[in-house]
Amino acid sequence: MSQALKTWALPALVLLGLLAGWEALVRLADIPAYTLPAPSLVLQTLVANFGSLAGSWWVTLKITLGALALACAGGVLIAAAFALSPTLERALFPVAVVLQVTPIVAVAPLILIYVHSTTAALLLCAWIVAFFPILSNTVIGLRAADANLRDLFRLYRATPWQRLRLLRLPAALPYFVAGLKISGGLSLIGAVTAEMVAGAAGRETGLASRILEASFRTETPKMFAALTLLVLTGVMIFALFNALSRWLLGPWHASESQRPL
Amino acid sequence: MPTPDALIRLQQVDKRFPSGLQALRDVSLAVRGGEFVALLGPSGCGKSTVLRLAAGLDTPTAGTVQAPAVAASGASDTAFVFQEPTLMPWATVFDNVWLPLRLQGRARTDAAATVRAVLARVGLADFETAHPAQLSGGMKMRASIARALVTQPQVLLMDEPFAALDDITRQALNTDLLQWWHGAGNMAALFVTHSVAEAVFLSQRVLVMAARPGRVVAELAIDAPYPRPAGFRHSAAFTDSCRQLGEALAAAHAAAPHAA
Amino acid sequence: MRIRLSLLATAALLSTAAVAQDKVTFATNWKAQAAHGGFYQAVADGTYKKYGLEVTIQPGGPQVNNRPLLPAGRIDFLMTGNLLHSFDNIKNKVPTVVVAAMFQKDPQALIAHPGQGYETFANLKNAPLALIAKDGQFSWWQWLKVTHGFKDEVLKPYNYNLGPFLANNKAIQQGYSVAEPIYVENQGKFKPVVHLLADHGFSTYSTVIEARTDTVKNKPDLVQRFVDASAIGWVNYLYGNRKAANAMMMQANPEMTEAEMEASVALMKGQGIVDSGEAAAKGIGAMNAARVKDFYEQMVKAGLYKAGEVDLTQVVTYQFVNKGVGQDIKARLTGK
Repeated sequence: MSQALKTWALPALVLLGLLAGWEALVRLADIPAYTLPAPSLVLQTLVANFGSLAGSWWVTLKITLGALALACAGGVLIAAAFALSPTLERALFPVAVVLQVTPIVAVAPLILIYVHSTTAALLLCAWIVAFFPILSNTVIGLRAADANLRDLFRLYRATPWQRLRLLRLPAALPYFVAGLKISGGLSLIGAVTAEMVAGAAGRETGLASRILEASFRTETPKMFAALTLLVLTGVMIFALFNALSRWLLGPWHASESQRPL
Repeated sequence: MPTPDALIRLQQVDKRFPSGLQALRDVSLAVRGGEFVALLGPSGCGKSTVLRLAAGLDTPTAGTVQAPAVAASGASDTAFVFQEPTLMPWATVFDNVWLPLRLQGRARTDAAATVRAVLARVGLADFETAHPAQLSGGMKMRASIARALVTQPQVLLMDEPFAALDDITRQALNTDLLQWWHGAGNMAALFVTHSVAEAVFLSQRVLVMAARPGRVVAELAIDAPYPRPAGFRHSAAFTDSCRQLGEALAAAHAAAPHAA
Repeated sequence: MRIRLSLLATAALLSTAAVAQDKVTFATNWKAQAAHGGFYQAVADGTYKKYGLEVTIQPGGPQVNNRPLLPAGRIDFLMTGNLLHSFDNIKNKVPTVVVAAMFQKDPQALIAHPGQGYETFANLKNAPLALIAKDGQFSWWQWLKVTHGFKDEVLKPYNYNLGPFLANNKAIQQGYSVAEPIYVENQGKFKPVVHLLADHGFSTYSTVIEARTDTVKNKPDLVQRFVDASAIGWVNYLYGNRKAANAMMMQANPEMTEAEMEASVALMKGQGIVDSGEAAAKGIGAMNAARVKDFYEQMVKAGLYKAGEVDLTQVVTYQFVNKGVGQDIKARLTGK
């Protein structure tokens, strides 16, 4: 209990301090709500509008997690294909790099023109942003198997499939998890960016649309309320993957070791 | 009883690496089933290379290598114990030892009895579910040896497996190793070391190698029974063998700086 | 002789004093186009200067949002496209106010392909694809949904690229009645069907000038000069020699052409966007409270606001307009 308290107490205190400072600044400098609303007002607005904001939150969450799941699947499958065929890797890796560096704000409008379903288009945009760290890290990980272990597998005449399944994939796990932590945040950013550029209307609007709408209608406190939910989502994803990393790597990988560095 | 035919045979083997290094020159040796042979020599004398050739992990530049692992197909019937324990860190001790059987297609439940038996033999019965990170150096090495023994191989190749351990653990493992090998039928064992005492304690024959280029320069027979009698390490015969090997090693070392 | 010289000197001094310029920044809501012509005219032909104003026009654009700059004090006057923005400001206690309305009719329109049944306004809501940009999506589109039965399901974002509209016969999209139809004709080689929202109940003033309330309170003379000079600028642009203004706009927006601007001016005149109704009598910029109230009530009916949520007396001030400014110049230029 004490350990958990120690871990959480310090960041919580810092956060509360920042919020208190923000509140004080707004009150003392008499900053109008449409420029910078105080945290108390943002919280008020969040509670008052929670019903409708929650719906949008769910939409954004669906796209984020959906894109992340697809990025995992895509990244790992493509990395495995690359691992089994160096020719394929040499041919297609540059394509992956191109996808990574293309700014999504530029291509999202085009994707929306070519893809007819808005949900599919949003998923695709978020996927493009999120899949590369998983692909890149997993590719490196699949090459990271210890040399002696590789010899051992050769000695016992392992098939390429056995080698992939029993040696290369487990060896790649720490690298994959590192990529996953990065992609978790990116898939949220991708989902939000895609929706900001693409937008949706009516029932299936996510938080990004709500932020835009509030901004266009100069309802700044509502904008901040939606932003708060976005930030919460990012933090939750980060915490989730940290826990996942501990669970998967805890017993055996140096990155999760409790010993002081 | 050693069988007459050699399980491992190197004949006039040369190994030159692409970098130009002449790791081995004109090396010939043979190990029969049921024999325990030590390769003794300083660093860089090519003893590890000999092991890799016998394991089929490398090919000679000249000469021939005959060994079960070098055959084109089929089970290699060979086990290799590396200098590092070389365990899969993400797997339990049980899964690590099960690996060779698993690669042969035997399911977990099917292989469980065999795995447990060998774990018990090396003294790790209580650590089946532990991860390597939770074991000491000596225990990790035991697990590595257990994995080597689980397929009941014909050939056991060991590359300075105890070099990183302290003397006490090392001596204990030496004793245990002989027990495990001796009880395993007609296993041919080729053991690389740079410790004279270890070579004398473990083997029936010690091949002394020199470096630059790697070659066998001397051979000494150790005439003592298995299992080694109590107090063997303090016996006159032991000390004498050590002295002889020490002299051979020094001579090999002095003769070393030859052009390749 | 000495007296004449000193009189001349005094006159010179007085005239320089009178021409001491107030620096003013005016932000628009789009890239330079004919629909902003009057303002660029007043800069190009020196009207602002004559009124003691050194005006910098700051254009908007597709990803630019100039609106927060006004309450923040970074600009002095702001052009907005309809009164909904002003209603929102008052609702959210943003201290701005409308001082003039350059357009009596909002040129906001929906355009469609000819021969697809969209000649009737009522059929537009059945289009399978409606390309609407963010600004409209959160304002007049909401009114279209409630008042005319349009549905969110067909809405896709309009990114100011004519491609998707041109490629799909059944698509409709937003546009300014005095601009997009010209571009569609140039690129798509057909005359689109144009439906002005103003003809179907969207009765807002357009291209209104907003100022901060404290500017109106503390520098009413400055505001009056800017409104008057802008109105005169519009008269000169529509009826006089606009070559310099067009040149200035083409420099600010290199993608604009003279032909497009001239076509746009013709449409503005033909549709009575600027100078119709009240403005014909009371000068460009004219506004009346009854019309503002009527428009607000329609928006309440459309669900955009609640009754009494916005204090209309704070939305618009009528003190600077309805004075017939520029009528004499117009009479001279048009010979009427």
